[in-house]
Amino acid sequence: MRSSPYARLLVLLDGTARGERALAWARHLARGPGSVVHLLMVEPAARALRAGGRTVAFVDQLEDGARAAARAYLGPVAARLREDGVTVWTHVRVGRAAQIVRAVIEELDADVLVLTDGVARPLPLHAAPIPVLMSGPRCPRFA
Amino acid sequence: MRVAERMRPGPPALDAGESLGHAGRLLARHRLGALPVVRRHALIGLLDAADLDRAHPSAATSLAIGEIAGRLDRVRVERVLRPDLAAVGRRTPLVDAIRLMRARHLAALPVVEGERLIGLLTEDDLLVLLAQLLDEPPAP
Amino acid sequence: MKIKTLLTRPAITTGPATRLHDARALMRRRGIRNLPVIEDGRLVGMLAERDIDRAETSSVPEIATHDWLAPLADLVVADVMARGPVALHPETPVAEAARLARERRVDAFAVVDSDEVAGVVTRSDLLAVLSGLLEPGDPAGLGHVLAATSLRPGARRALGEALRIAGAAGAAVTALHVLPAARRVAALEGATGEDVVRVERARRRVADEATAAAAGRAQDVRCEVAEGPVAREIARRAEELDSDLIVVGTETRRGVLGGLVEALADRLVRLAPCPVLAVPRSGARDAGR
Repeated sequence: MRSSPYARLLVLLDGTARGERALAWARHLARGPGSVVHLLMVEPAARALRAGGRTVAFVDQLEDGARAAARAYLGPVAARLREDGVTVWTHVRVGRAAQIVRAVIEELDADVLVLTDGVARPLPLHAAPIPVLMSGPRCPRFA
Repeated sequence: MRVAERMRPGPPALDAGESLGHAGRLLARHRLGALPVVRRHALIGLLDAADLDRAHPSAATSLAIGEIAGRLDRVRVERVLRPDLAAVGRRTPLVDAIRLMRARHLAALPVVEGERLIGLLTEDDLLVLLAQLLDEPPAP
Repeated sequence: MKIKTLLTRPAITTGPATRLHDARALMRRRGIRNLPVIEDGRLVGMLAERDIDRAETSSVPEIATHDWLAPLADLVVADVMARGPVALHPETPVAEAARLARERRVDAFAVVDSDEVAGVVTRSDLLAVLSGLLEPGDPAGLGHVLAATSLRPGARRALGEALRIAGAAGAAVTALHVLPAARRVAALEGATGEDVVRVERARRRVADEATAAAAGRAQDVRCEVAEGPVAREIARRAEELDSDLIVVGTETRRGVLGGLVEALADRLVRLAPCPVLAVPRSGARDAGR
């Protein structure tokens, strides 16, 4: 099997079918032993919900909920990739996307960031420390 | 993408011994174009809305409107079931499933594990996927 | 994508007075299941094969025996067609047609442009579009990589990356250098000696860059030069070459007024027929590689 040019791929997902289009490329680029695909979902930081002068939901409750939902989404997505023989790790973070993506890239020593144009761009392309693979609105061929 | 990702798990199904009247009501209740037909949990066929149309009394029937429902309630589904059956597995690539549905003009495609019905891939769900994939990202 | 791209043949229609028997024969002959019904040049209904099935003799013998056969032979399209059918304009987006097909529970739409029936779009046609969107690339996935090079710093790294990816996938590589469009005046007057020299110099530069980047690899790189709006030229060439991936270097540029200029990569993503890999300039990150 040909070796992949990338050892650690970071895929940013947003929970939509459109965002999942990036996965076909991740699957393709991860072909080969030793490659790992890291799936990341970033949930925005919550602010406590207040109603009628009382705090109705606290930040940690909201964030736990968002984290759980993201994990529930990522679980099956990762399982499908693993069925295709890809090594997958999932990550859910809460906070500002730009900061988090940069931090995760460092933490994982990722060598490429993969995303679809529909996913909110966490940082301007020219500010990314690693190559960024993006599929735009005119790209058709993704399974 | 594979069938498992867009199918409806645990779909409604018709027992082979049910009536055409019941079939029509079930199709309408679930807003489906076709329903899988099972006999003791094994998939034996697919009943299409078109099969019901063909069984329906003609425009020149002498049956009174009130009698038609009764007649359809006395005909078993297995009598109008077509002999050919198409089904796919959960890991079938979605493109192959679509090809099959288009070739056989199927409004829904049963998904099986062995003989057991485990899901239904419907045209409506595929149209939803199409709209999702085509939708422009929201304006900033 | 608009539904007009799905219309592949002239509309096949029928009239309200046509006998059902003949309408069905027409459908069978042409392999279609939906006929727009036209009267005085206007769309007055839609006839589906299912409408004919419903009107004809039951497939169940004990129900069929109650039929008067004679009147059946006289049935015409107007007796069973759906009146006031949903008609869509050719510029209707496919996504909208998909939504309407579900909401209105229809199998087919007549496509009408200023009262003229241009054709029919069916659920099957919509599924074909979906199929096209899902179709996986060829098993190796990557057949051709287009590397957009330039004289800017960082371009060589992009070319190197393109070669690395292509090498791993056994894909062909084209290195394309786009010269921003020359002054309009020069273009109008036709290529001057100066222009020719400029292009030639660029061609040689690209070839040198490609050779340097490919040093040590057994890879063939085609080198090309183009002129024009950069993103558009790259996207155009990618389309022509049926590229699977475009690789481009990114850079931060400041415009005349000091604001950040939209990076080439961003512009390219919007126009490109395939994904774009934006490669940053070599920085501290590479030091350890």
